[in-house]
Amino acid sequence: MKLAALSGALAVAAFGAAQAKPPPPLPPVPYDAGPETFVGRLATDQPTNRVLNQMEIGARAFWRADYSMAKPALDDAIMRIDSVFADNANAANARKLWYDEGSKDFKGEPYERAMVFMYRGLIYLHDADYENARAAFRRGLMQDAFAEEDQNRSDFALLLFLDAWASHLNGDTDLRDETLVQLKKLRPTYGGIGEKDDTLVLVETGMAPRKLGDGASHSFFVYRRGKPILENQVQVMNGAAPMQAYPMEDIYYQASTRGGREIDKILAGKAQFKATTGGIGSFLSDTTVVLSENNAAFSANGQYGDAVAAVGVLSGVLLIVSSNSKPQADVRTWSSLPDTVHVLTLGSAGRPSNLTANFLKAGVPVAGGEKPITCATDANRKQLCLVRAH
Amino acid sequence: MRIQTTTIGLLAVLGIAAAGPALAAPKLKPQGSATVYRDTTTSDGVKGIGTESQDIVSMADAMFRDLLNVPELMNRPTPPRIIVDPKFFRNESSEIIDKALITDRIRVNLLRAAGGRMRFIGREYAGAVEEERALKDAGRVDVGTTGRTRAQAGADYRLVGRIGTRDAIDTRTGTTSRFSQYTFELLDMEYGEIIWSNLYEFKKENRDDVVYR
Repeated sequence: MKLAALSGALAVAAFGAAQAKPPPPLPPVPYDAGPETFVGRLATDQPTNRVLNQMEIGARAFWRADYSMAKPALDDAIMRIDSVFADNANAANARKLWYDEGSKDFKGEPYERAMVFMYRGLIYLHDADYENARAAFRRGLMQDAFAEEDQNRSDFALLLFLDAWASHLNGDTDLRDETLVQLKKLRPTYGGIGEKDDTLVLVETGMAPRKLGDGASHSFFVYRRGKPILENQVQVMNGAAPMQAYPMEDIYYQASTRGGREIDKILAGKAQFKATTGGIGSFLSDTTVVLSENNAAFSANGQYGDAVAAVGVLSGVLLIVSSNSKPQADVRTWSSLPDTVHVLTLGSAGRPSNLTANFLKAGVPVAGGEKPITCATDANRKQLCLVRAH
Repeated sequence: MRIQTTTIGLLAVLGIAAAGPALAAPKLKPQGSATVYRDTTTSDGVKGIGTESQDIVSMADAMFRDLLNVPELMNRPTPPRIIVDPKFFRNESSEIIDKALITDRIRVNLLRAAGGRMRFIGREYAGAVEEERALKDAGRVDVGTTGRTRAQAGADYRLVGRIGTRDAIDTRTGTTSRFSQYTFELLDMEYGEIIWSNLYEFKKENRDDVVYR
């Protein structure tokens, strides 16, 4: 009778645990696919994934030059990244024992938030709105300031460079030079922006950094470089003369040097609780079984049978509590980011550029690694030229 | 009997423990909410540290009221001509903003309040004016009812200014703050003298949930 009651309770518990399971992760989308899948997911996916889906739409539409789609997606992501709600139920849940970190509204890690501002800023550049482009790049730099490690705070050289480039295009040479001084500290080998440069070539190579769950119950994650990384250098061909694009930012480096997060301490506490309750529950359960099987006094009909049954129930409670606590870290990732961003500026005197990119790895050309670069000329005859390897 | 009570109690705890996670399933809010009008001078429902509608309304209203007290503008027998547009209102800040929201509001309020004591030049529409003048010059349209002038109107003064911000983050507490300063100046377009200046400044601070730090 007691065993039946215990079994019933365990079945109820198991049912409850099954119901609390987060939805299964959605299938990955190819790196070079367009935004369509994520547009569909905006309507069907969990609302907590909205910013992630908008990031994917923004970047994928951007690389298809579909700025009318990319703009509102990135603006929506920015609005939600910037928004602070005093009482966000989903954020509160993510701190609780029964929810994993992934139950919070996704805002991305600092490198992902910074990249939202980068793409939005590039669209402002495309639209010849250099001041708002600069503002976007500066806001991206602020996201990077959330990094914990002192030496890596606000070291997003790409955004500093783009800040300087926006000032250059706007004629704010004083602001440009101030920013280039900061950039020089981070990238001493970068040659700078020529006074007559009016064309920016921006090239992306490699795949997005990956977040992999690690530690007890995956209570934290580690970054791994995206794979495969087929190329890490870019030559820009303008006619016959090759020009080396400068590898301004390693996105994987930005991701992996962020340092510890405050939430990691909470997740570590959850993992500790899960391990402790699970350990005690297992011990009590094993003890109960051994006692009831080896000593008549502790068996179901014995003198201490009720006490053994109570301990058995307690062990069940502890095991269920342990199995239902969720210390898993949030490994949702913006999958369409690059590994490295290369830049080159040149003067074209307002003439349309006919450029191609040659991709190399360690100085060796990659098979099939030649792509045309798409250039757009803005209202002030400044050019933004874009290409990505994949 | 006491042990049975204990067992029942433990079973109850077990049931709660089991139900807890089930109740913890994500709670969606499927229902939308109807669009409602909000007072433009109230703070936004969505909080950030950037410039909100109430800031724009407040600063534009403060500037146009102050401009109405500038002697060089209000006490001249011939109304001065002024350009108020966003072209030389520089955004050097980390604030993504449509500057015309501010300059339009200042111009409209000034124009309505000045009662003809100031004239406003629509320099950002100079292309449209030029196009019409070319049609008149070519005789493709008539001269209209106000007659011809030798050229478009030149300006005596122009509103210029700068938006600047200083951002700070305390990574230990996750607190973000932004000091925003909007500088407005009226520039004499012949002599280069600044005949009027004013500032609008504010500082905002917030702290996001620990799960985002």
